[in-house]
Amino acid sequence: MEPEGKLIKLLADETFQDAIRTSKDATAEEQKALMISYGIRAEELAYAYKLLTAMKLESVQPDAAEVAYALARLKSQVHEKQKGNGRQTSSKDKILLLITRVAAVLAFPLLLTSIYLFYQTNSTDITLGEEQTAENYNTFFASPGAKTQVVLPDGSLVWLNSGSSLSCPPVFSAKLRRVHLEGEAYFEVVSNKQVPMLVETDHLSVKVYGTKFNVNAFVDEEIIETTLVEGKVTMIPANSRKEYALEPGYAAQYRIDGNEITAWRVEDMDAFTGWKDGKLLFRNEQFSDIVNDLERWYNVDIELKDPSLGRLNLYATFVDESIEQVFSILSSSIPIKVDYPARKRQADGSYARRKIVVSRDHNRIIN
Amino acid sequence: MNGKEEIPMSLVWNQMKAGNEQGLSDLFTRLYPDLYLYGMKIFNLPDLVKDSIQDVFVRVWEKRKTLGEVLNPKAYLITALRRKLFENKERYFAADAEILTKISEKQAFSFVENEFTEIPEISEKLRESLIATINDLPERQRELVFLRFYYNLKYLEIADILNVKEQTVKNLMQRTMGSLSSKLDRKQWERMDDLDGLLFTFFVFVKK
Repeated sequence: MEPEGKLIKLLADETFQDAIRTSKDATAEEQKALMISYGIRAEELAYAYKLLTAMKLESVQPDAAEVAYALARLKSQVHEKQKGNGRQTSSKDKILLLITRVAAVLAFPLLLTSIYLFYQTNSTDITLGEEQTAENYNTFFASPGAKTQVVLPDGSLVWLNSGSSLSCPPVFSAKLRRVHLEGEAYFEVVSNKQVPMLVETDHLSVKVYGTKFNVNAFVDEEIIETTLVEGKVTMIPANSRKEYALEPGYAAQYRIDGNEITAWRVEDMDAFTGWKDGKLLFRNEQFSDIVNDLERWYNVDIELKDPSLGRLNLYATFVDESIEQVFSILSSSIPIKVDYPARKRQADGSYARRKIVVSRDHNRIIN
Repeated sequence: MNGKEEIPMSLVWNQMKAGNEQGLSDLFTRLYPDLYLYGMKIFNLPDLVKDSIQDVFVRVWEKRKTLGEVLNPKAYLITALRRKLFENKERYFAADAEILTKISEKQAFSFVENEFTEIPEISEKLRESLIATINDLPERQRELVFLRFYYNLKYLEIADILNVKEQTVKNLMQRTMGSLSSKLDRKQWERMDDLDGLLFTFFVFVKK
C-alpha cells in the first residue's frame, strides 16, 4: 500500500484516533511505542497529533437560565400528560415543580407578567378554547399626537403609534391569540409555540409565535408594511391562503391593489421601529408620505399647495422636536415655504385642528 | 469528560427509567446544551430545536418502561433528536409558505474559529486553514467531524445516528481524512519551527 494511503487509513481508524488524542502528555518512550506499533515516522506522528487534536471542538457553556426555563417547560409538559392519564403527582413532585417554576419565572420576568395577567383575567366567566366574538373585544386607541402602550392578556407588549387602534378579547382562546389592528403598532409577543398570535388588518394578517416586529397598516395608505426585528412571522393576505415567511432583519410590503408582496433587507431598523422610542426617521421617503406621518404624529392638518412637492424624496431624523422645528429643518433641504394660519374658532366655541400650509418657495432653487 | 467527577450517565439514565423525576431532570440538564448545539448545527432555527428537544424528552419519559437497553444515552438522544428535527421541521417552515428570504445563509454544520479548542501547538494560521478546509467538506462529512470530534462518539454510535452501517462511517471518515490531508499544506503541519518557542514534547523527541 502507498504510504500516503496507509496514513489516511490510520487517521481514520477509531483506535488510532483515540490513542493519538489521548497522547498529549506521552513520554518519549510512549511516543516511540506508538510509532512502532503503527509503523509511522516521527513527522507522521506529529502531523497526526496536530491534526487530530486541532479538530477538537470546544464544549459549549450552558446558559443556566435557558436550561432552567427549558427544564421547567419539560416538567410542566410531563405533569400535564400525567394529569391527563388520571395519575396523581406526589407532593414531592409538586414541590419540585414549584421550585423549577420559580427558577423559570425569575429568569423570565416577562413570563411572570403573562401568568399573572392570565390568572387575573381568567376569573371572568369565559371558558378557555371558546372562540371570542368581536362584540366583547376591548379596543385601545392612540389618539393623534399621542402614543400608547398596551399589555395584552398573555403579557405581550404592544406600542400603538399615533392614530392607531388595537382590539383584542379580554382572554385569548386556547388555540389562537387574535388581535385586530388599524394603523401602526410594534409588537413584542410572548413566545408560545402552541398558540400563535394572529395580527389581523383589513387586508393582511400576520401570524407569529413569539417575536418582535412592526406592522404598519394605516387605512389611508395602499400598502401594509411588516418589519421583523427578531424571530419569525408569516403574512397571510386576506384573499389568499398562502403564507409568506419573513426573516429577521427584513421588511415586507404588501400592495393591496396589486396583491403582491416584496421583501428587502433593512439597513436601519430604527427607520421602522424608532417611532416607539420617540424617533421619527425617514429614509429616502417621498415628502407626501412624510407629511402623512407628521399629520398623525403631531395631530395637525398639513396642506400641500403644490402637489409636485410631494414627489420629492428625502432623508431626515427627528427626535422630540416640535412641528415648527421639524419644518424649519425640512425647509433647509427642500424649497418649501411654511405658513401657520391662526386657528379658526368653530361655532361651538372649540378650536379646529391646527392647520399648516406648505407651498413651493419659488425664490429658492435647490438641486 | 470535562474531568469533573460526575454521576455516570448510565446511572442517571437508569434513574430516569425507574420513573425517578430527579433522574429525568438530571439527564435533561446534563444533555440540553449538547443537544441544542447539535440541533442548531443542523437547522439554524432556535424554536424548532428547542421544541424538538422537549418532544424527545417527553417521549422518552412516557416510553421509559418499554425502552430497550441503551448503552450510550447521549448517542440515543442525539439519534432521537435528529429524527424529531426532520419530522418537525415542516411546521416551522410554515405550511406551503413561499420563503421570501433565505431561512439562513449559514449552512448546516459549518464551524467558526472560536468553536475550536485552542491548542498551543497549533498556530493561528494552521487553525484557520483547518477550519476553512473542514467547512469545505460535504455536509455529511462535516456532521461526522462534529459527532466524532465534539461528542467523542464511537463509530458504532455514529452509525446509529446517521442510520448507516459502521463500515460506512469508517469509509466516510477515510474520505474525510483523505480530503483534509490533500488540501492542507502538509509541510506546514509537519514543520517543527512554527511553535514560537512553545515546547512541544513530540518535537523535543523528534529532534533528538
